[in-house]
Amino acid sequence: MKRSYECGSAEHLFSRRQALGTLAGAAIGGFGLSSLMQEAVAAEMKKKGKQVLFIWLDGGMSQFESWDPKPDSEFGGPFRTIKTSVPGTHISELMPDTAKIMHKLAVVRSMSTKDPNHSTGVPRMQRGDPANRGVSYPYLGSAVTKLLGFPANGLPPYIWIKPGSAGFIYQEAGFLGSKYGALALGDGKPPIHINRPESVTDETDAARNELRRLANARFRMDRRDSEVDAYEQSYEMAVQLMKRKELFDNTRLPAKDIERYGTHPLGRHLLQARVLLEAGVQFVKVTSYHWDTHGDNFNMSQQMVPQIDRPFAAIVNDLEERGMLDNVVVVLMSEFGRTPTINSRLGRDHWPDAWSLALAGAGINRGALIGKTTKDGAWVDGEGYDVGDLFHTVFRALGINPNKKHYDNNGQPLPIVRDDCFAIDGALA
Amino acid sequence: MRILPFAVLSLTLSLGAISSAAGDAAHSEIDQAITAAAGGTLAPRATDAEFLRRVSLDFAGKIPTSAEARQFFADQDPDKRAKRIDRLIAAPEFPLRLEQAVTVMLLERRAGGKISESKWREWLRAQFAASRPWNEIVRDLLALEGDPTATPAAKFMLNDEKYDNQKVAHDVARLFLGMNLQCAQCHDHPTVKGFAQADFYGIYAFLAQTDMKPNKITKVMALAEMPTTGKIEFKSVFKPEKEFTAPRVPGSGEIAIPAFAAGEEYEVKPDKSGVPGVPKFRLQPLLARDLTSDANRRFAMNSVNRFWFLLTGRGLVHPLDMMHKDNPASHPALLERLTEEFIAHKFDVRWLLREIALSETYQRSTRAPSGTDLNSVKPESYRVANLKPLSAEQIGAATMVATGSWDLFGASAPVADEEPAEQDTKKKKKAVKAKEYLNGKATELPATREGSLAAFVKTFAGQAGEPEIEFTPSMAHSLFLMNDRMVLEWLKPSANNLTARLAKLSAAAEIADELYLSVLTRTPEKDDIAEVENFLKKHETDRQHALGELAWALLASAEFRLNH
Repeated sequence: MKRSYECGSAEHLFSRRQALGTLAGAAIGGFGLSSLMQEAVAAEMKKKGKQVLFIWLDGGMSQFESWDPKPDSEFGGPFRTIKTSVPGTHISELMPDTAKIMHKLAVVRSMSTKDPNHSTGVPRMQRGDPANRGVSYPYLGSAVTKLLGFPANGLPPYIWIKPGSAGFIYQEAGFLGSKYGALALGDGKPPIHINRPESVTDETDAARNELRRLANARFRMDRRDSEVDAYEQSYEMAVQLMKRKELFDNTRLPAKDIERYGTHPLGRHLLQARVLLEAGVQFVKVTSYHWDTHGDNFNMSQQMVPQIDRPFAAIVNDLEERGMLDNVVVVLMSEFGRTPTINSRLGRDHWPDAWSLALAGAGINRGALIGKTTKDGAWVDGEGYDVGDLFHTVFRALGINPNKKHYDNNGQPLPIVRDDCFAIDGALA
Repeated sequence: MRILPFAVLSLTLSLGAISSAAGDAAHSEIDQAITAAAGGTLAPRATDAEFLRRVSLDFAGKIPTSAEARQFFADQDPDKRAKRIDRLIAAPEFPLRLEQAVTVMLLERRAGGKISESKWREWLRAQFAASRPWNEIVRDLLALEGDPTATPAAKFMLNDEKYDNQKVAHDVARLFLGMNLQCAQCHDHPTVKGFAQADFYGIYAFLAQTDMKPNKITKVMALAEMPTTGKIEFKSVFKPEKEFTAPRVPGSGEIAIPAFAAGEEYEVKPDKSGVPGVPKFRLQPLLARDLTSDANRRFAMNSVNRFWFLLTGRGLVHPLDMMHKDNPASHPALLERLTEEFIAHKFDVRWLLREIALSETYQRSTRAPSGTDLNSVKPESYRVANLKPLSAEQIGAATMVATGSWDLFGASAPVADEEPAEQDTKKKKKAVKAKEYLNGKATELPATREGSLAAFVKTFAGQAGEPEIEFTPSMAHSLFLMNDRMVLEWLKPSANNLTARLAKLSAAAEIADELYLSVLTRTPEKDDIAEVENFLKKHETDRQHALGELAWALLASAEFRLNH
């Protein structure tokens, strides 16, 4: 069997390690003065658990019409560039709000990944393209749940806001086991069984659950606890969730914020994500579909890119205003970018070879522009980054050393990342 | 009812060259082996109540009614347990239960491909109903001929969107040989000496020239086999040199590949219009033959281990797919003996399950003797019976029997497991699909036993592609039992269902008795009765709801959720 190690050719390894070494040196040199203060802040931060906002533009947002415009090139398309809050950095005119917060983001223009298909690309990307270990690897949300642990607030650790149907998407947990799966809110609404029928009052519910606990206590006698404990826990989590139903109540979203985020689904879902993050949900994924602009790319981009521009800038600003941006890692990405060439239907097709994504928040270098593409935007000019590198970056931003931590699959240690990848140079603060 | 004559048994035993006395039934051998290595006090024999519930779930896939339980408890026949086992094996629920368990084991909740699951289930059920030997059933799964969409058995190989012969090779190794060869696809297993890369490629070599192709004339997808040209080449990521293997079942020799002159390879030449040809030398049928033959002891041993797991909750070799020298069986001689006997009994699953169920080991309590250090009781010692999670199918059926809704839907279809057949368009329009009911798109409740069961299965089934081995309760299950309208509806009095029966009783002791027998298949203890009495007193003004809540609490209890 031939195995590919695209991520880790010897040359690639060398340059990356060298660069990391240099950066580390610089950081130590620059410490000194405010270290005491930093320590105090760090201690305070440590008390707060880290959180993640993972925004997924499914189908593949065009980098030409967003982060990496090439207006003067052969394939650039009709849109112009605008200045951003980072001097010298320009992005597409379709993202005016985001342009104002560029200094809060790290934008990577040199993503270079492998998979040009949606069906395989989405799971591959969201799993961090793990090497084949014969098991189904967890998606990022489940992975973070496992690695950070269940938060003490009793809230579901991983909530996925998406169009369509709700449910418990345990499939994302892979070999970690179903409890690390995602609680999906369909169109922002929770699974139907979170709603207690009116026939069951609070009092009744408490009474019947008390009877259940008593029955379990009797069953435990002279039996090992583990099965009964696991079963009890599944009920206690359900009870906790039902108590916090207001978190999922869309009618409680402030009207002013709805206006700021946009009344379209992506706007509302990002606003809802903010509410959940504020409540302490550890990992929130927001998915938006239909970014697959094979036809009429320019009209579609003109319509869709603003739908992410506005609420994305709004949520980054809101998180900062609430002091949460130091605590929440924000990732905005797709499974790939789009082709430089414009097809006969005025569309752009799938292009994993050179595309962009944005990071913000905890542990992320603010105002960083990482990597560049060739003049026509077709290829990465210099070193490209794979999704394995992104996972290293996100884990490090969360304070997890991906090279020191392993999953335990029934005694078999499994790496949490591709061990032939590295954190993206310059993306981490 | 078919009971195997003991004459056959003693004859086969005398052929076995093992120390046990000729004439000893296999269940006695089980008990001797387990007792000898118990390493601590054995748990007492399970009560009649524990036994009846356990054996009913294991052999019928559901719990008995309160009336059946009372009858069994009152029966003074010292042989009543053995008789119950035989009765359950003869009942129509038995092939259904086996079909459900084996479907979960082999298809692992994956629902892809073009072959309908109901056709597969129907076929598998018929095999078990006819007591077809297990090795013959497996042979059918592997020896594919012609149009696979017309052969339900082909679902095992074609249960994904695309036919993937590497994946089938993995499944064959894992499920039929107890060999998880995932690591061995790229290199010899680093820690398991017995799992070599050549083992994976040996199995794969049988399947490598087989592919799903459409017949261009009939448009039917067919599994077409190309002529075999030679050995399969593979390369370890750790070694520079290439290696080769001919088709080979692990543990046996390579199959010689005959050479044909160019143009002579085909029995039926492929048609230029697109009809696939049939080679003279075909490997797929050879895999089916060699893998399931008596000579392939590993196959028989893996089968015994998996059926043993089904009844005891723990494989003699565990994990089930790690059957190799460095992970020996907890009771190696016992596994050897059962394997020999299983082969001698011509892979008769009924015989095997019956012998296990007749053993004291199976019939032991899940409660350790008082004062036992529970952490010292290893599940592989079987000195205390292991707790087994109910399967999705068992939870659904048990909940319906307990609440009395099983009978409310009528007794017309004792072995139905599917939603209404799709061709029945009138019915289809009326019947609420479980999926639509569960996501709230359909507001009316499922109107049939099948539809109701489907709602349970959709909620409680494990993850597609993952074996169901461990107990994995989830918040989704709990929310369903707490808040599902269908489940709550079943707790309202109707006809002769549970709460209607309870409502007719007045004394707390009588109520507790009927409640506990119906839901937990046991008579209530003093504490249980006192709790019922207090609860009803406290909720005097709303007795009907109180009865429903008492029943709900037992349905939601660990005692109900586990086969204990």
